[in-house]
Amino acid sequence: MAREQEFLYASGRIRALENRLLSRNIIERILEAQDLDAVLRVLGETDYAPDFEELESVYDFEKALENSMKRTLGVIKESLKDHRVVRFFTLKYDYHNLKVVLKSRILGVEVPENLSTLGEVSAEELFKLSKGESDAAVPERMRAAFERAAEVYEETRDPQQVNLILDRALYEELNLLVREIGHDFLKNYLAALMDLTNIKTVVRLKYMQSDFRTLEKSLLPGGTIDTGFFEKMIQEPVPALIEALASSRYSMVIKEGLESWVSTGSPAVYERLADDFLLGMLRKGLYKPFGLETVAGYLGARENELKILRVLMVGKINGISEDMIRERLRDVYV
Amino acid sequence: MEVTLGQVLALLGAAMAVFLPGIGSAKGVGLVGEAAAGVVTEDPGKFSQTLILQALPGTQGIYGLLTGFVVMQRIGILGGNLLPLSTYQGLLVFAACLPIAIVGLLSAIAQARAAAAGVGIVAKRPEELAKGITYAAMVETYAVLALLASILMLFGLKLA
Repeated sequence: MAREQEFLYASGRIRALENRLLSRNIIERILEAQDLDAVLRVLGETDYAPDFEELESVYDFEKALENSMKRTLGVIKESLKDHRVVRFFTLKYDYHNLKVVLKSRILGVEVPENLSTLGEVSAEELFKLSKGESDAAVPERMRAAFERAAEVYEETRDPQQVNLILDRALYEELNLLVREIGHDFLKNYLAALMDLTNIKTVVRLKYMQSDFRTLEKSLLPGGTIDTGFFEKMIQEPVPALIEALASSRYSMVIKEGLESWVSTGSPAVYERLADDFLLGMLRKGLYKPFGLETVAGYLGARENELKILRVLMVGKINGISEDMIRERLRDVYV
Repeated sequence: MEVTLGQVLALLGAAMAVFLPGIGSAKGVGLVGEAAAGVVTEDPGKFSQTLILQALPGTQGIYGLLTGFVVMQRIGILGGNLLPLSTYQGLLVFAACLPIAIVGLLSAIAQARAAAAGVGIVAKRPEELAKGITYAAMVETYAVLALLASILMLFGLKLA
């Protein structure tokens, strides 16, 4: 109980902030908006108003989303003494930045605007790292992953390897972080995230007729389903995979998601269902008066909200029909 | 004046009746206060509603003090004439203090958790404050029962 109580203030604050998450009603109104101006009018009534007002062009909406997330991370950080839960959510932005920096070095260009500002290691230090300066203030694990990725690229000249190595390194570090925090809620969430990602990887690689070696390198370390299962499954047709996982906790996601993937050739439905499943896990935070769950749930809900807005904005900017957008829309947290 | 073991035991009982529920209430009021401060940071207008919830786990400390006073009065320490209690009499007073001492400590913390959840209700639906208070106040029953048991025992004892 002592641990739960560290989250009291943050949880109280989040209870108030949850009121400002986008409701289904707002999402529907954005979806039904006739044009971009109407979309912006609806967003003007929400917490995103200041971020969208600052934009010079609506095409830069990604900046507005990033700024709003940055504000959320700031609020949660100032409400907690121990920032490790927040780190669980921000680590991926740092690894994204490592990829950007390494690929910039490979291409010989420097595009700082591609870096996410949500990472915790500054762009300056990352560029120092990429120039091989030894005094760059980058955490040891990230530095090691960066150097390994750079080495493998030198050998193979395959940029895809950079992604694979850094993704693996990210999840290895997340595993360590979760073990260090020692809370079952995050452990289960991370395991489900990795399982669902691994299932997607194996199906994608099947379609690409990849070999064992690629699979081995692409699977994320950890999760509740072991590598041996996927190695067996890559040789079987997709229905066998659906059958084999029918009694797992992911059965709903897998059945509907993979069946749609087989019939339409697009993983969109699987991705949406997987995200909804993960959001369902996070929703425990909504019903817990206070604790780590509340904080993790809210941060996950904010990320989910950004995903929804991204789908909506891209859809609206490109004039995609309401039904097509709706198909890709995730569930909302509240 | 010679101090008897009975007097020591009786006073120890009074001390426990005061400090254990006191600790419970202090922890409880602090716990709800932290959650309430979180809500008020984002929404300062909710101060008065959350304050009511914060006060709820404070009653156990008062019950403890009340029991302590009854003991002090019964054993004569308030008037300055401490009764010459036998060891068994002291133990009886000590036993009478146990219900409120233990139930007071634990119920204050349990009540605080319910009240902190009530703070969540206030954050989402301030018009439902009464329901949040009711949930937390249910826990109060057991603190009151323990107080009643302690007081009845203390008044039933023949000490003089």
